[in-house]
Amino acid sequence: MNQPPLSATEIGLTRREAIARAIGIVGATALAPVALSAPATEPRKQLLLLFLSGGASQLETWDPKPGARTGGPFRAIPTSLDGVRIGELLPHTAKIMHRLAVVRSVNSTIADHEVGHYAIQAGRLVPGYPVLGSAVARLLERPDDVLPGYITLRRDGPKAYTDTGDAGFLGAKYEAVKVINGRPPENLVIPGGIQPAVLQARDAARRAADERFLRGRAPGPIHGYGTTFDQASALMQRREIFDLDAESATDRDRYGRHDFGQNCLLARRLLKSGVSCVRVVHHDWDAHQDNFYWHQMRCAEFDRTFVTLIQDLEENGMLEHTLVVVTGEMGRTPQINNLGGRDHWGRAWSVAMAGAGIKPGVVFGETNDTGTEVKADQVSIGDLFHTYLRALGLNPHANYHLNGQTNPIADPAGKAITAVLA
Amino acid sequence: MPAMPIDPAKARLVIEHKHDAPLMSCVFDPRGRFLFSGGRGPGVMCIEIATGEKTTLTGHDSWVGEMARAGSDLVLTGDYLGRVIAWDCSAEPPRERWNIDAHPSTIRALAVSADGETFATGDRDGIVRIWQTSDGRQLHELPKNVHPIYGLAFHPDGQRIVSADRQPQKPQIKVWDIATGRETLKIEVAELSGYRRVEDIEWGGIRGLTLSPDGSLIVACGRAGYDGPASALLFDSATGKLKRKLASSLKGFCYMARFHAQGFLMTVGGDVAKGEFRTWNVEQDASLADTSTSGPCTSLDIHPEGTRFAVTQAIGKSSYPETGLLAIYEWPA
Repeated sequence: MNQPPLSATEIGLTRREAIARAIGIVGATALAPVALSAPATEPRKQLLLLFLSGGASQLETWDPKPGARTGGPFRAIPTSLDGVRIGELLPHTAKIMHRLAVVRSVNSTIADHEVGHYAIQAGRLVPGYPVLGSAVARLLERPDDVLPGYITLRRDGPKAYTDTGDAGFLGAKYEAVKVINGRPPENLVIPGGIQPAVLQARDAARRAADERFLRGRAPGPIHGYGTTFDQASALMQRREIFDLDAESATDRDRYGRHDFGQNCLLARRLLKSGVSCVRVVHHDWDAHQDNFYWHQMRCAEFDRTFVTLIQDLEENGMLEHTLVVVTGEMGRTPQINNLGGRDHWGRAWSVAMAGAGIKPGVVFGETNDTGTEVKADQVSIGDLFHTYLRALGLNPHANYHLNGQTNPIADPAGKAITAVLA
Repeated sequence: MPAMPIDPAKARLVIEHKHDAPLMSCVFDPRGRFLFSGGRGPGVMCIEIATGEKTTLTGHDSWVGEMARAGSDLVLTGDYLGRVIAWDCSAEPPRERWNIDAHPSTIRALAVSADGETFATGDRDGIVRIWQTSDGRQLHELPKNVHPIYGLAFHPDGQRIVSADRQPQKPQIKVWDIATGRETLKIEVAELSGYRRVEDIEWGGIRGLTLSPDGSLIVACGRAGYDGPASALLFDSATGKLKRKLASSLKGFCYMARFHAQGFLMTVGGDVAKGEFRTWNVEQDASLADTSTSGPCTSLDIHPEGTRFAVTQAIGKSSYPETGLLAIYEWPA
């Protein structure tokens, strides 16, 4: 493989990454490793992103304002964290608040689905950067990895912006593999009648053609193309990682027999299998109408499944090395519209985290009495991105080096929220 | 029934009462002395009609979206947390007679039988329960509907009850035999669906339900499609056949319909920062009269004597109403 002539010292390579490069396993597209610690003998850090698509209302979830003009009809309930209350639609979550860190002071400034989807996940507004899942897939990659680093689980639907951005300049290798409606990627089984020898011959021919085509050309896109074949081949060997039928009926019930529940169970399975980042999209939070009806429905699904998942990860020893992030692309207006809905709101909303690198039992930031503005400790999307990377043991101040260009992994203007970091 | 026939097209405003939160429900007490209203707040506003004196009744912990009068002296109010309170209107001011935690989730529908002996509640989870009015004791629970119940109405025979749900793409009206819990008729009301695949959300559904005094007509309120006009659909309660579509010129929702004892139908509805109420002859497509309001009209009740009616509104300059208005109108004899 062609590699830019950078030394490990110049770009802060870890020993593991340097070895990986030396043996030509790491792709040519993203070459700045950023692990702050974590010897290879330790369990891999992993990321589970629970994405509440459409934008959950912070007032019905993490930052209730009972009695306020904007508060809505529901009460705030006590939690396992002294003095902290959350919305009564999350009764199970309330019991594990001591395991979570909640940031109540996010001001993303964005009140648009498409922009928000990208910006929240990329940690910046500038287009073309990899989203969190792709970045983590790249940054936590290990030389012996065969599975994709980033898998996203979502429902079919025309809201394609749930996949906005993805790998950006990192290329196809770090794009999310999509599991839609619980169906694994297609064609994981070799069609009957095709002999393995034929496949091997085809593959050899393709590789030879690639090698010839590569001569004198930039390797990035071509390697990305080749990577998809390698990943597909690996997935064919390991297709059981998508097999929910292998999970017990008890677990399938515990997680809830709905899309989000089953996808969270599948996420647990994928994380156990070694995938670096899994994103589960929970749909339909965009409650412009009947917000309180919709949040009753959405929260009921989310609450029980989320707590089951966190408890399972903890009991299996996975939570220690898995960062769990609960976010949407924005929050919802404190003001209630004429249809009983809440609209898009980016100026004051909440994000929750748990697990790897996170200090449990922290509520950071504050909004005003009506929830319209951040009152203390304002947090930007860049700050969140820095925080996620730090929690995963990664250095957000490092750079990607790609085809002669240097790009900061995280927005240099951001800074990690140290108060929520362990 | 008024002593003299009234002209439904000649309603005139009597008085308006402002409220500090958008209003969603109203009802006159059985004797017509008090007017109750509730909305985006836990307080129930009670106005003595003769004097205009206002009292805020406490006991709910959440928004009060449903109200109905029962028997000779009760008003029932239902809230977003599933509580029902019975207010004794023989007292002055009315006071709580009993309360029950009727449902574990939001009460979206509340109806009283013609004799006032029983009432029914329907909730967000699709549960319908029948209760004894005198003490709030549960009598029946219908087989669970999978979809939220947004409307209930007793048949005048007292043996049957009609429910309306919010099933995506095909909201349904169901007629139930109360004693057996058996479903005797089902009507799919796809015309009131506001389903959009882009979000996979049902934005519409049946928002209000009423029966004609003789029980022959079922009226389902809502919106014709995602962005269509406020509409009320009339069905034959025996066959389920659609008999008439009453469509407003207003885009938005028709939230409620009520029959006057004289036979005409009233509807209320609204959209962003505007609303209306209309009167209809159910044998005609065009309304008899319509009146525009400054805010969406969210509920309606006709005085027991039939000479007055009340309408609640949500008031605000834009799409975010912050106050409420309770208006009383009368039909001059």
